[in-house]
Amino acid sequence: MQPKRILIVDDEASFTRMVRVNLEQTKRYVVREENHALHAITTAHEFKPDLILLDVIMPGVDGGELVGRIKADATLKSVPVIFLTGTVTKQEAAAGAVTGGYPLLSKPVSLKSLVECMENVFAAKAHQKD
Amino acid sequence: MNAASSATSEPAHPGSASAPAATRVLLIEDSPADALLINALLGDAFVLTHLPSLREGIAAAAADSFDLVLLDLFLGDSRGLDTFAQFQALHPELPIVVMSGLDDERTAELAVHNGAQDYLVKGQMDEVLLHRAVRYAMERKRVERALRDSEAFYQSLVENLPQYIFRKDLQGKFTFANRRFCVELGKTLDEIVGRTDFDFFPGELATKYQADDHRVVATGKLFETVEEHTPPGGEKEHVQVVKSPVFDAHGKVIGIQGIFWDVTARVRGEEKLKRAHADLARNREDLMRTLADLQRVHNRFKEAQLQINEMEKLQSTGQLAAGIAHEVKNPLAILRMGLDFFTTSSAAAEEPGATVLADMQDALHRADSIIMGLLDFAAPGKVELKPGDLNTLLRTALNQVKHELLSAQITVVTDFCENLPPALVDAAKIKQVFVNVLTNAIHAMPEGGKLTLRTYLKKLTPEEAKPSPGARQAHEFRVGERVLVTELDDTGTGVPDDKLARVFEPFFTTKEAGKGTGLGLTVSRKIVELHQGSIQLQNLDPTGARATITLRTERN
Repeated sequence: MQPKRILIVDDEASFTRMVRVNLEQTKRYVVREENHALHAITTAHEFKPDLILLDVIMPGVDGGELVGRIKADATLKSVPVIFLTGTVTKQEAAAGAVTGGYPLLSKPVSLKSLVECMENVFAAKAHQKD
Repeated sequence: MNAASSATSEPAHPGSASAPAATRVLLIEDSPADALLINALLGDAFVLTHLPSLREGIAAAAADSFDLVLLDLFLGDSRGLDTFAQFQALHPELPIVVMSGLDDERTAELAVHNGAQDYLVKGQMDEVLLHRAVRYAMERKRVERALRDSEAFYQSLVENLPQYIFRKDLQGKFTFANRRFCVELGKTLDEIVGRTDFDFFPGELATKYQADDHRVVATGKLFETVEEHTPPGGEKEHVQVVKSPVFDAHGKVIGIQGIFWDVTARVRGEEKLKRAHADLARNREDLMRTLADLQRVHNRFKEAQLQINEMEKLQSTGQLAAGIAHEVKNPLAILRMGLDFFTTSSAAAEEPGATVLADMQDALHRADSIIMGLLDFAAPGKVELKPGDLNTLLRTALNQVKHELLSAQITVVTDFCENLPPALVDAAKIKQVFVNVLTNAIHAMPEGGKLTLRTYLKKLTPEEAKPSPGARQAHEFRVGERVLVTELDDTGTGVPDDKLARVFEPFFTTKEAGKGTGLGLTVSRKIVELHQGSIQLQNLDPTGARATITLRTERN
């Protein structure tokens, strides 16, 4: 099976590196890190991700705005997005918070939760296509 | 006019009747023989001056002083009653004894009627008679003079006093009125005497005056009052009236006398003073009320200010917390991913790597819990209130901490009031409060103990509706309001009294390091206040603590 292409946009380089190492270790994913939110769209055009992991609070442009640009982009608009954020409460996280139709994961997130969430999104997308 | 003599009949008191040693007698007599006889009859006890004509006699009386005049009515220069009249007119102060012949006794009697003290008939007088006539005449004159002086004195008083004075008989008819009273009524004394109050005053007033008069007559006692009085054609005025009974010589009441005077200025002054006093009292009351209002407003303002201060503190603490949470979560996220990486590595499969990783996972979990708590605390206050069953929420919360209860060997006693009306709650949030409070209770009893949970419905008394000192209530309860009370009693260590006031402050904890975030009660209070309820913590005697959570059954 072709590994899924994951773009992670977060200004915290150590975090994106950890996510990449963990995900790529599973052999099921290819991960591209982008630590500059302003470059995210360009990188996405070039990398053509199957899914984008998006931090909410970043310098320059925040996750909410970025997702707007992604949805406005003809080639990117069908790419699913998962938010990763430090500003979600315990209750919101427990309730499986969804913001603007996108899943929201609370940092620190375990590898297990992240993979589960990503697979759910892929499954939902596959279901849509069928 | 009968002046002021009242109950006591005689105002003047005659003194001793003895004549001075040498009484000076002026004898006016044209008959030398009669003069000689009289001189002889008078003897040495009298100093006699004899003059033969009225003219000379009058001159002598003017030039010298005499105690008595013996006046023959028939003289060379004057005859009959006219002799007496002339002399008396010029010397009214002297007592006069007139003398006449046998055939003129009638003229002598007329002279006495006109003011002569006595009369003697020539040829009928002897020494004893003459002496007695002279002495009695002098005494009578003296008494008469004293009486006249006394009358003049009292009349002067009655007529010159600034008071109105009158007398009435038992029929209410005026028998006397002083000049001032006459002027007041605009009548002469003659027009007043014999009339009643009804002739001068409006019927209503006259009736009242007569009633007062009757009272004086009936009681025989003095009556005093201040009353309204309207003189004919005049304006209404206030007078002070003193009425007293008039007695006859036998002590029987024969009428009343009254004296009154205008006190309108005084009464008006008093009324004005009274009004001013009342105004002052009212102003004072107003002032006191205003002051009390001001005090209340001030207190409320102070309370509000304290709350604002605390809110600002909490708000900035909240913002700080949210900032910290975000900043800390990123490194935590890195650690988490890092740990996950190693968990899948070979090091995790054997000791001591596995334990080290487990400890690190645990530490990470704790750090995350603290940050989550911070975020809960900082989260904007929003509750969705729906009717919920308090007992069910408590049971769910208990279930959530059952493992901790079990491992700490804590017995749970529930005393739930069934049939409670539904509480207005955000179920998830209130459950969080219960869990927080239960967790605190469990931590307070590390050696085991007893946890008592109680729910009941209460109607608030005025005392309970008032926030207790130090307690912070976002919304005051109403007196008589039915509230749902939850009490959680533990048998733990309690909270040191000096720290009790601080337990709701953020990051304040009495627990050992690693056991609490110091945010449990802060968040709980915030949630309860969003429910417009209250939460309180108190120590129990002899040991333990009670958390009391009061919630509403209906919207405020």
